[in-house]
Amino acid sequence: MAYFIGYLGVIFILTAILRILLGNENAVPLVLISGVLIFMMVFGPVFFNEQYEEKHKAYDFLDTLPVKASEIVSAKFGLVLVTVVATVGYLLLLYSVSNVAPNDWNLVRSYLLMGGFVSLFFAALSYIGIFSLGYTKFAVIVMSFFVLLGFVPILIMKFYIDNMDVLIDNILAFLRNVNWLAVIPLVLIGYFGLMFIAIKIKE
Amino acid sequence: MDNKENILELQNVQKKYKGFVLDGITLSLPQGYILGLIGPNGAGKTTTIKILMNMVKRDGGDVQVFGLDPQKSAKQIKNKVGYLGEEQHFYGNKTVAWTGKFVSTFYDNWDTNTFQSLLTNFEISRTKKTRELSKGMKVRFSLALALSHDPDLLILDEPTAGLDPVIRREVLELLQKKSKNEGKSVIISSHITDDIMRTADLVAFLIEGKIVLVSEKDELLSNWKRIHYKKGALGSDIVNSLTRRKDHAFGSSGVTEHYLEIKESLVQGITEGVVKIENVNLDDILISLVKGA
Repeated sequence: MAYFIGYLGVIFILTAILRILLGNENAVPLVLISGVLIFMMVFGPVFFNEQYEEKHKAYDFLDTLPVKASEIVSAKFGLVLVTVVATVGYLLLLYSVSNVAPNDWNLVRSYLLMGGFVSLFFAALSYIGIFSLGYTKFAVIVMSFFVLLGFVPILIMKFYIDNMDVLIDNILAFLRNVNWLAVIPLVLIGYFGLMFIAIKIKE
Repeated sequence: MDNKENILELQNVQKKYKGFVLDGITLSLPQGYILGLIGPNGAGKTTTIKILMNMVKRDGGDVQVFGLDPQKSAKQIKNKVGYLGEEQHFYGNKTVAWTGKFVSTFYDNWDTNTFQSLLTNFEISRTKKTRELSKGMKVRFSLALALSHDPDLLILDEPTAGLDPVIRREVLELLQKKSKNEGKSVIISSHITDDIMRTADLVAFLIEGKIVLVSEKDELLSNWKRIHYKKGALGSDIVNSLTRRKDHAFGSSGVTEHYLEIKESLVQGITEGVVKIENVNLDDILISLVKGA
């Protein structure tokens, strides 16, 4: 609970600072930053917690107690899900009362939801990776992945430099037109599917 | 041994690692008894214990603890088991009190008063962080955690390794008290045979992944003797049945594991002073078994 209150406090302060800095009129840049913020705020604690668990050999300790691996894993997945729902929900609420142009609202909503889904997906894959390989090995893989990810914008610029406007328009059009009512259940099914795999690995 | 209900049964349990095989372990432990699992380092004691706790999955065989299979009912079993591993892991930056409260949430039968009084008896500060506890303190703290939910079975893996003699004695006496006064069953693994000698009712020798001998301790010590004899004092059949034979100034000596069977035939030699019987300890038996393995 303390973690959760602290977490929402950080989100609240950061978004408030961003709003003050960028102002009501610049909702889209603020939303872009918020999306990254969702990812960092979910991904960071997952890695921080697992580093802590490994440092203290916590799984060896928990293994001696009457608790099932499935209960430990589902609690971790549950916390990530609640965190994402609360963060995205809070940010959606924040923007719904802001002066976001009606034309941009779909985009804002899509971007925030997308940020939430990407966070869920990465958190789930991280748990699977950590349970399979151990925290230290998996952290090295993730760091390498993020270094490689840094080349993606360069590659996009290289191959799409003449069509950047078209590419961005296509992405924005996609985000404006996504049927989230259909996507949300699929994302949740996928997330719980990954949770099931994580449980099997942990058992 | 009375016909008490077995609280623990292993039948032909197998586990294979690279370079190590736990090969068909068969064991049982009646309620209220202390079973000592003796073996050299790497014999498979910890693996056997971890299989009981479902901390390691067995490759074959059958395991029943309280009539339940650990692989299917680990949570129910752990609720009734007090476990002390050879290494103690806690959240190092948390206090003793926090850890006790945390652990208490997992057990149905946790008794805070028992926990508090054990901490007092063991002289463990509630406000200390667990990383600040010495090895001996950690063992005593683990024991306090293991006993506070009134377990019916205590599983202790090398519990006295690294402890000073005073604390070691305290821990062993506590185990005996739990078994004799409260009818709790205990399985204790150790390569320090003196611990088993002091506490166990039953002894199982585990060597290179195999149980080579299981017996009641008293029966074992009655049957295993070192015989010192002068040349010609014993018949060749008895001499040939002795292990670890040595020649020395007095004559020769060797170890028998069937003393009660051959006792009668030794009486005359003992009377004439050409045969002497010496008690052996579990160390001697372990060494004999290891050399013979």
